[in-house]
Amino acid sequence: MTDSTTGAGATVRVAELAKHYQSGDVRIPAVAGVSLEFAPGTMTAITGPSGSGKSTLLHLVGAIEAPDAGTITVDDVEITSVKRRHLTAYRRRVGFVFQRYHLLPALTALDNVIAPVVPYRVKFDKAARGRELLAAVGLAGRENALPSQLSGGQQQRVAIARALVGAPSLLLADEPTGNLDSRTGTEILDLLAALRAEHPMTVLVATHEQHVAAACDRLIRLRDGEVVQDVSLAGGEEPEQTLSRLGGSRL
Amino acid sequence: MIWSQLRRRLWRSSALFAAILLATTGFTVLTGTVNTSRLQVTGEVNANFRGAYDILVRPKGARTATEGERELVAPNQLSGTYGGITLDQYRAIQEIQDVEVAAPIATLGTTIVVDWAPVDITDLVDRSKTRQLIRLDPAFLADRGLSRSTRVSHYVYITQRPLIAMESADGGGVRFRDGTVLKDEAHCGLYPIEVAEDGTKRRLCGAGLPHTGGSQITDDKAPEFTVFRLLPDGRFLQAAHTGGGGLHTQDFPAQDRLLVGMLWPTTAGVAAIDPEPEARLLGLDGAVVSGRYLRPGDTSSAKAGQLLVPALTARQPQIDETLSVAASVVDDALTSGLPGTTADILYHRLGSARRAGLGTVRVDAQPLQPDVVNGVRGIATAVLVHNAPPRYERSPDGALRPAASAPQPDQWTNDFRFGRGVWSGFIHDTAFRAATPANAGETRLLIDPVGVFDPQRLAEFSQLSRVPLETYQAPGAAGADAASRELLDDRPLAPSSNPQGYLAPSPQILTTLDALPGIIGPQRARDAISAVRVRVGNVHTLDELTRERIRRIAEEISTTTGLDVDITVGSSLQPQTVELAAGTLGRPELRLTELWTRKGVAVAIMEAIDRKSVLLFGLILVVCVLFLANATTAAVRDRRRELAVLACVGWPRHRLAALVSGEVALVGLAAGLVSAGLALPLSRAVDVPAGTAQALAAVPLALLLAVVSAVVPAIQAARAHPGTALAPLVSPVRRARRSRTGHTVLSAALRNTRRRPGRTLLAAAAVALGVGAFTTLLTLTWVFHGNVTGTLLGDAVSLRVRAVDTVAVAATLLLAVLALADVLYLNVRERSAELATLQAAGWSDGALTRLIAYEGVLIGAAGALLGAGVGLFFVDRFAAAVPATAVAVTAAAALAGVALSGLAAVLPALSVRRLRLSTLLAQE
Repeated sequence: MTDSTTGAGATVRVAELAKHYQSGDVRIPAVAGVSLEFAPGTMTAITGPSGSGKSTLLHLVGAIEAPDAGTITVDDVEITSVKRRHLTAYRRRVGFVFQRYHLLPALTALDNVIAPVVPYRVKFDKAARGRELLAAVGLAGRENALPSQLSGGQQQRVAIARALVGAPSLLLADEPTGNLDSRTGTEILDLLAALRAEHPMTVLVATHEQHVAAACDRLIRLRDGEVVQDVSLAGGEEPEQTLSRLGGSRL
Repeated sequence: MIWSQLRRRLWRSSALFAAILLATTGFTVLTGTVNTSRLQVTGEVNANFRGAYDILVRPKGARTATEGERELVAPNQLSGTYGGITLDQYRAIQEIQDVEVAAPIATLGTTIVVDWAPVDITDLVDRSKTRQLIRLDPAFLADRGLSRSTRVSHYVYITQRPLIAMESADGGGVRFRDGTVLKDEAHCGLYPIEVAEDGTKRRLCGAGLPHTGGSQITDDKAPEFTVFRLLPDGRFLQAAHTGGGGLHTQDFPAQDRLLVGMLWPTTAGVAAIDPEPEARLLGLDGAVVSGRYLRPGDTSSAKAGQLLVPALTARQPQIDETLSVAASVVDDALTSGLPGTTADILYHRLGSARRAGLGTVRVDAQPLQPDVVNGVRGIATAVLVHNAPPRYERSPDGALRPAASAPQPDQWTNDFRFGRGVWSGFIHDTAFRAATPANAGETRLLIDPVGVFDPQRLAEFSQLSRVPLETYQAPGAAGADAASRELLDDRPLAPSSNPQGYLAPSPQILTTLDALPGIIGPQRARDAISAVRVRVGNVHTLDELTRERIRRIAEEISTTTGLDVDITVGSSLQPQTVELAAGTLGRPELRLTELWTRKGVAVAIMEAIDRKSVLLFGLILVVCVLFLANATTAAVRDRRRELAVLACVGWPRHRLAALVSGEVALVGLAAGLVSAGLALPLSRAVDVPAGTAQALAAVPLALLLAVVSAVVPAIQAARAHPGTALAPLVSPVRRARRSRTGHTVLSAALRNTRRRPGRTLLAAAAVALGVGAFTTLLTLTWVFHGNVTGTLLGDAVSLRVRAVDTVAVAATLLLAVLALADVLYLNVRERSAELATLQAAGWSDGALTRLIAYEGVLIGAAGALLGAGVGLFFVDRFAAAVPATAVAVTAAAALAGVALSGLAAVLPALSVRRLRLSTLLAQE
């Protein structure tokens, strides 16, 4: 990734990607031969029923897991063939938002936000950047709150702020609103959109909620690890209409 | 259920098992070494007295019965101890820390000193007579004149006629200087020819018996016979003496005075010293009055069939003997027929000859002293005799009575070349000591004096005299009652030249240890040292600490060499009455007062428990309990949900507690059994005494360790609340801590150490105990060289670092490191989800590894600093003066502790790299 592309977000290419899990003697395919390309700056919703491979696809793209076959290329770097220790550099440019937030319980909101950059020398003031991001996610003044003192929505905001602290060119969000009530979920989505406007990046959101998908440029539906639908929501049709045509509020 | 739990957590169970095994086996084996030999001191030093040395080391069993009974040491007792200490033992004593000087002395025995005393009979000569024969009868007086020993008469023939000396003798006959050759007539010695008034030449033949050959020193029955010519100018010329089998003739110069050399056999004590320590201990080098002091390199050398022994000799003879000579003149008729009369005939004639007394010549001379300046080497020592200390009987009035026996000189004067003639007549006096020949005269020894020392000039002589078993002061015994005092003429009784006499003289001839192999052979030279006198360094006052230090050194000498030790500090003199039985040579019974030495302190070697070692061994167990308690607490935390479910289904609290403690107890029991099996062979392997009972004690010990460490976790388990089953696994953090150290990995690690304060404290305490013990050990070993004397709770105590202490400290440190590693490992395991999150957020493996390593080093550093501080504090409290190096050593120990903590963190930190992100995030 170069500085010029950072501005617009990362280009992600996935080719013939496959991953399976072993459950006892049964081999369960999670992702089965998926080939996709995500243009820089786009926001794509990955949908599908539970176990369809949404999370796995995100984990693979986030280099949290290694695929059994296929390649993932981000900005001309094939991360599937990069050595483990070089993956850290890649992960630093990727923001990951987990469904269960995964905040560090011992750290304050601020410390959680800047946790990813703690081991590194960065050009910016870590604490200032943390406060800035917390303010951006609407948590100004809660810098010293512990995760246990925050609501689910607030925790997810902290998680999003944390994902953004390294100014990623790729944001991967795995069911970011899955544990939230719909109003909070909407707020989170609005927040993501606002942040994206401010800081262009490629976003992949795994979700099975319609209103989340509606906020995206593109929708990809998975079933049993295979792509069964890939539609652009950026055409003339309103996303909401397209989505209801495609299958209702629960995707 | 317990069993299935253990199987499920096989690795954890194995770790607990290993810790208990290490601790119990270590403790069981090491406790076999807590019994050490301790030198117990009884008695108080009542005077601030200190002699030239503080500790006397003698061969095992050298203490006499009387000494053991009364803590009294007879004067000059050393003279009766011959060898028993090896050179290696001597060197071992020198090596002991705080030993300032260790001076050995090897008492070699009594040797014969042969001398001719010049007796001036000039005034007895009747210058009007052409020929005269003067008979001299020597009487030797000892015991202040009370004992008298006579010797064979010495005839002096004085003629005014010319004498012709012998030139050579061979099988063909005897040739004289004027060319006369005479048949080698029997019974004529190597005497000259006298030219009579009518010109006839007649041989002088001496007065010996046929079988004696005329030699002066082979038989004490053969009268001696010396020939002088009274020259016309009034001077005297001794007849030329032919020696060496007639090969050469020695001429004497004419002299104004007529001096007759009378044979005077005495004895002298011989001892060997190490010159350098002797000089440092007593200043012997400063007491040299002529010649030089001995050097370490002075060694015996063979020369012309004799062995020259370099020696320093005492200026004054160490025995009290005088010579008195009665003179008489033999009938003129007999004398005029003397030339031409053979020796055997003359011997018989002289026996019945009429004589006229001429008076008594008192000889002021003392037995000969080797003279360095004039190169006198007159002392031939071919014979060494050992004597034993007297045996005493107790009189009803408290006096000691040395056992007397008839003299048996035949048993020990069996030298085949010299016969008894060379021995003083006093060997026929009553015996108070057993004597044994120490050599068979294999080599002819000749004393080669390098210098003369004056015992009176020895540094601090007066103080030295108060130390028991002194070396250089001649013993003396004053009369104890009026009668005895009168008999002794108010002088003390002094030793005679009888090796069996009651008083034994101090050594008069000192040689070097290096010369011993030549004198007594390399085999016997190896353990020839009779005593080592030890002075302790840095003794200024005799306070309690110093006395403890002296005791500790004495103890170390005793334990490392196995020799008898005595503490001489604080000795005092005590008069002891001795009843000396009458002698056969005239001395009546005497009642004497001797100054015996009362030892200030009595010492005894006791079995004692080394409490310091016990303390160190106990530390192993304490650290093990810390380890186990932490591991068990973590296991309970891990299984909170499971325990809560059990509580939900109705398990009573005590069953929950029993479940947890039962698991640990089972591991403890297994480890104890294995430990018991290992203890015996291991003890044998490292040569530690351990019985079966002791080995079996490992089982209850391991159980106890397990149960004690399970107490707190079991209580926690009993408190399991059913609600816990529903609560999240991650424990809530109650209070936010603001990080003031900035947002770095180090600050993150610091924060982590505070998340489980109990666990961190346990690990830090384990490290602190290990490093504290290590600091103390290191300081004692490096700064105090393994020995330190100090005060503990007001008592003077010596600490000596033993090898087992090092092992114990090593085991404690090892357990502390394991405990810390386990804490870190538990942390990693409990926080694996967090660590995975960080990794997913871009933390590199290196950053995660550092996070854990820092955590370990931080905990370790806290523990190490605390431990090192406590260690230094302990050493400082204990030892009166802590040198600056101790602080440096403490710092080094603390650093080592930190380094070990880093080492402990290696595996847990590396285990971070094995985290599998997907598994952790599968909780999604």
